[in-house]
Amino acid sequence: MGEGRVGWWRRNRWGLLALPVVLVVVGASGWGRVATFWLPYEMVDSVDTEVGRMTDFTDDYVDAGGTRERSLRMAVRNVVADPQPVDVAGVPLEVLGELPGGTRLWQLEIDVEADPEMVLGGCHVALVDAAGRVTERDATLLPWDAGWDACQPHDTVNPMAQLFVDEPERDPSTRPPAYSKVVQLLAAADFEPVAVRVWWEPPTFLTAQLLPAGGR
Amino acid sequence: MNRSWGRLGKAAFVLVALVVGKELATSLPDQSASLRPFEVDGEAGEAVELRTGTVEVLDVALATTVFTPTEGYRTPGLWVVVGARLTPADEKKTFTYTAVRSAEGDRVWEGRTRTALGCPATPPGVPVTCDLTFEVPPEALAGADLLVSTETDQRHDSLAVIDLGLTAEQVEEALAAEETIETRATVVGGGDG
Amino acid sequence: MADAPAAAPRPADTPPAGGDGTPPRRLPRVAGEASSRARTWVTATPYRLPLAVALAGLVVSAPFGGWRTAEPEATSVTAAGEVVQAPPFEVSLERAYFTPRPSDSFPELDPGQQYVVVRGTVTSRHDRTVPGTLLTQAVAVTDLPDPVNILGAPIDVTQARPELYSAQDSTGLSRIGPDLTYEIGLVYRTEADELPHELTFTLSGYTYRRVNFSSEQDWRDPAEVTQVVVPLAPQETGQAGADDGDDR
Repeated sequence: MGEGRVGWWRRNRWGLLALPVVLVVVGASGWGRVATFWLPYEMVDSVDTEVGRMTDFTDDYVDAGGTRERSLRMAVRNVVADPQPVDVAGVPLEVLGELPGGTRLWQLEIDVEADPEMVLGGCHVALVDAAGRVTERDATLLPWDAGWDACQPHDTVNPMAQLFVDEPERDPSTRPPAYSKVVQLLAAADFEPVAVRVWWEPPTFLTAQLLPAGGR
Repeated sequence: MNRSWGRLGKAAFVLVALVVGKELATSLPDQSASLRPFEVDGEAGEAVELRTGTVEVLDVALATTVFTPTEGYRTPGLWVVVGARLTPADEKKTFTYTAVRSAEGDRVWEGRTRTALGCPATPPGVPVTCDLTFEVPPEALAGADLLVSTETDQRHDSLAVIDLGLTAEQVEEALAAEETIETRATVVGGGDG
Repeated sequence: MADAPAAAPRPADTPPAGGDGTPPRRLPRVAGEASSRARTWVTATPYRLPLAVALAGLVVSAPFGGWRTAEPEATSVTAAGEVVQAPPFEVSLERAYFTPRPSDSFPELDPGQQYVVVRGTVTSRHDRTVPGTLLTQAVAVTDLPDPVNILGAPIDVTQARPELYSAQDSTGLSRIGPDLTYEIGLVYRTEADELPHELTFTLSGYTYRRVNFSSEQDWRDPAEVTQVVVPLAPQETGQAGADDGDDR
């Protein structure tokens, strides 16, 4: 009996040796699906920094010309509650009606240093609280917000992503290599931000931690 | 002789396995059951907790004609106008999927059958109050439920099932009265629950 | 089948037939030998029996057409106004009219273009709400001259997709809930000067089945159900377009 068992182990030794390798390969192929179909669409790649610090930010995007790299330096600063409403150029406006009940206005500034030809349209800006709630800037909620891009000047010719393979030449960008932009957003009255999040598309995003009290 | 019996046995085994397998495959719950949403029951006037937010039905009205600021809508059935409030939990959300389901649960009438009457998405903790409109055959309305989800895909997600508290008498009255309703403007904020 | 055994290799253990000097055999023996050879050939490998059956089927079916392409079944014709079962819908098409502008709900067209409105009813018998596009794809006009799309560009008649309106109030109908019988207007646009006195429509029904790609159920596989011929006339004056509506 014991002899038979040893025989079995010996007879199947190559299969037994291959088994752990096969298990690893099976696991890796499953991971491939996660990496292909899930991770690129989830916010999993955080570039961590602090409010007020200039930070390198790099991610990818795909347009008609293929996969492109977006790289820039940016800083988030001056995160303040209850500012006066400002227009698209950051100039204060007379108060236009009242804010919805139970809400509070927040304001922050974004400094950007980027190649004028770098495509920066369509960025998202949000406040994050300790519980992980995300309050995103939404121009439709602020009557005075004209909905201009949150991370680019409104009065320059800004580069745009390529929509078609054969595209006529566009006007050259007149965006300065460095600029600041004021962003206002509406949050719940009891919303206590601990960080600012800036992103274009998943999975990469910038997280700028707010400094403890007074550091805003 | 023995060998042919053995072969017959094998063939019979294969046949039985096929029959049993087919019966199992058709009688066991399929994916539509395993993927179905988790229903959270509630009543009008009561906060119903979803994974993505809190829903509350404020009022329910029936009418034969609905007026929005731009158009008037008639229906071969009856309009159900539900004033409902949604308070998003962790991300901006809105009433993405809304429907009325018959008391028996076998028929579902989704909203937005005419123009897409929009309701804005609000940030976490900021409620939005909208009139949701549905056209439903009158005979299906007594005991019907409102379904609400903030997601286009409700599989494996929570789905609010709120009893609208409609009775057959209310339906008959509404049919007889031929009432018209004007939808109310959307309200952002203002909620203390 | 008849020539199959002849094409088969002669089994080694069968004596050669009709050799030199052998007296001519009687018919029953020849037939008996042929059938025994056929049996030997058919049972030689497991694949020959189904092959033989298939060949026999072809030979037998040859007088009835064999491989020839079958005639398409003639589509039935339904009278205008009659309700047609075109799953998931019950549809009737009653009449059609043309007009430069059915009502104020419709934008003005380029000069020379006009609307063709087909009036009818639809009821969905599916248990949940279906998109209106399912209906506008199930109804195909076959002989509308010079159709144009909503941008006013000429298109082929097979590409002409109507817009779906609720005729009760002249508003667009984007989804259709169960068991509600809507009076509908199907709105086409044309740049033809002369329009015929009737239009022919093909109605298709769908099958509710699992979609392989997403393994969800959906209405797929349109199949022609019937043709409907509806009379076409100018819009009567005072007739309030695709609607008898009361838009404010």
